Amino acid sequence: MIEFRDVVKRYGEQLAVDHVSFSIPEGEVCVLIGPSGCGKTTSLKLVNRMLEPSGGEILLNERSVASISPDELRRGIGYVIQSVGLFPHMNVAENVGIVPRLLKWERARRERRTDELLDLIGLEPQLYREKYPAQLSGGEAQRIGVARALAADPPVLLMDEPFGAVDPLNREVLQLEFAALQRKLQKTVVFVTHDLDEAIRLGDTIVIMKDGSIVQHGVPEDILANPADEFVRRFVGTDRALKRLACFEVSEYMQTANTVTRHEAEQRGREPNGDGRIHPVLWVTDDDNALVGMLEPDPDHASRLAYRPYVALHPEEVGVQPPSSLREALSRILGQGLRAAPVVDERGTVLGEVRLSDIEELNQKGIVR
Amino acid sequence: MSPGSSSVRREFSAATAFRSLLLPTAFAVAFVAFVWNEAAREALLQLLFPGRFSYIYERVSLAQLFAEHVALVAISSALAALVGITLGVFVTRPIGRDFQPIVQDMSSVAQTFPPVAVLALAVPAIGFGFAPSIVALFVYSILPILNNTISGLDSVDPAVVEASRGVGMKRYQTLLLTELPLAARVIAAGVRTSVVINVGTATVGAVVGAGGLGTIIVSGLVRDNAAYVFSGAIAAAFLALSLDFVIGRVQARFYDARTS
Ligand SMILES: Nc1ncnc2c1ncn2[C@@H]1O[C@H](COP(=O)(O)OP(=O)(O)OP(=O)(O)O)[C@@H](O)[C@H]1O
Ligand SMILES: [Mg+2]
Repeated sequence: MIEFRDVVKRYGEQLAVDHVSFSIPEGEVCVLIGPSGCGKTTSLKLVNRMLEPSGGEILLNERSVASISPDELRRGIGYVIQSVGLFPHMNVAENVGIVPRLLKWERARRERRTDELLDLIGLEPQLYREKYPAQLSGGEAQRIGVARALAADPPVLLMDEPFGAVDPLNREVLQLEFAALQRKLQKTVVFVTHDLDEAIRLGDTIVIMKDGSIVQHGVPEDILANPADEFVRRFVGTDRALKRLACFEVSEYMQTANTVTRHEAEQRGREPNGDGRIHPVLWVTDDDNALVGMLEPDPDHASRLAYRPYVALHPEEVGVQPPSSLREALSRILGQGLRAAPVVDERGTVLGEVRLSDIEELNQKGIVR
Repeated sequence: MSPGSSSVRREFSAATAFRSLLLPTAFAVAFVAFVWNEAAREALLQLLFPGRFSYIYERVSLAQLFAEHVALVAISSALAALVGITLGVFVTRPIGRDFQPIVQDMSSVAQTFPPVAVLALAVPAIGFGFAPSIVALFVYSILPILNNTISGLDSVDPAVVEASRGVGMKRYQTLLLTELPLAARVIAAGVRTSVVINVGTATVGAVVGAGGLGTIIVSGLVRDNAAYVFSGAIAAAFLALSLDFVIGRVQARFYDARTS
């Protein structure tokens, strides 16, 4: 656990961190966000004593960091530096293995750990071990930066805009990879970013800073639903209702879907579901339960049980998977002009559906004007 | 890759092999023959300076003078590198920063003294022979090493130094694992310049009886024997080129900021 207690940092006259108090429970990601110069990097560097506070204290598992020698402290805290910070004269293996080396691990153990980490971040050890930072792409370098921070398996990670230097597409890939990694590793993470979408995607909690102070601290969906003041309201943007949907997982809002195999639908003719009821959407599958199309009611038809003609669908175009966000589900629903998005697994099997009406309801309950 | 470009590549590597292997080997063979084989040297000198000369210096062998010369250069340069790099490190540390201008001024002033003058001052203090020459050469060699150490260390990206501290390196580890490796190429360039100059300067040691290739050159000048002067000068030039080559090879192995 990390706790900031009334922390102050002055650079001469300037107050960079102004009486900041908050804490981060073990295993959670806390994202610091705010305009440039608001004191994010400064706050982060106070944790591993790259900087010393002018007042207050920071506790790591109830122990003041001031009581731990800086070198010892830093070897126990993974640090991913703004703009990568790899050592240009060391190859990938040497970069990743630097903290183990400082901790005097044996060579064989170090090499094993390095390969393990390269595997973990999805870079083939054989191919990457001997490369130098100058020979890596931006995204690869960022991954190596994360691997280096993880090398000695520290319980705490400090990450200063770790994905700041890559293009939006790669950034999203890195974010998803990191989210998956974090689910597995459960580190206590302080994560600095400029990017609100990144904060929402990765943060268990978000701290919004301005001029060295905290203006709001909370879980992403609350911050988006109830901005504390005009500054936060402007900071999160007018599309906060939409952004907020990114906080919710499809799996939590999934409802039972009504399905029928194509075979059955054809046999039964005009009453394809065969239970005498009409459903807003009836998903049509092949014999292996994979989504192939849908049927929607036809309100203009004389019989109340009639459906419009069959519409073919591709699961990868309309379907969302359980870990996706409601924001993605909404995008599918609007993009295809549907009432609900089918929830599918990788093979296209229908697991359930997410309804537009549920999303609207969630939105009206949450957002305070 | 097209056949055309691969043959270009082969020619290129043949040229590289010639430059990097054949040339130095031929060079070394000629060098060894000239210094260590008196018959070969005499034949060459007769060809170049036909007439009435004595071609072979009778008092000491050229090989002996060469060995003395190497000793002069090696000892004074090693001391200069040790002191120059240490001073350079010291004046780029927070505690030594204040001394940087003084140290740089002092070594610049030392460089402006003619080596003969330094010898003249050293002899009354230490006496004739090898030792005063070592002192003079040492004083004279520090500047390029010191300057390059300072500029090499100063050009290390502060972000990389900060990263070193961030992963938990102590100050001395940051110096050994990050700063010196990153500055090594520039420092080696300073050592290279210094050593090459030193080979030339060491010939003045002969004036105070330090031995070395200066002995045969001075003797040749006194006796108006061009063959002696030529022998000493060529051996010194060979030595300078060889050292330049070897240190250059070492230098090339260090991290190069320009290619990354
Ligand atoms: N070493 C320093 N000396 C003096 N002032 C500093 C120093 N480092 C930072 N500051 C100032 O402190 C304030 C906070 O800086 P900090 O680097 O923490 O901002 P940040 O939130 O990380 O900004 P960014 O998003 O641009 O990285 C800024 O106004 C900055 O100018
Ligand atoms: Mg910053």
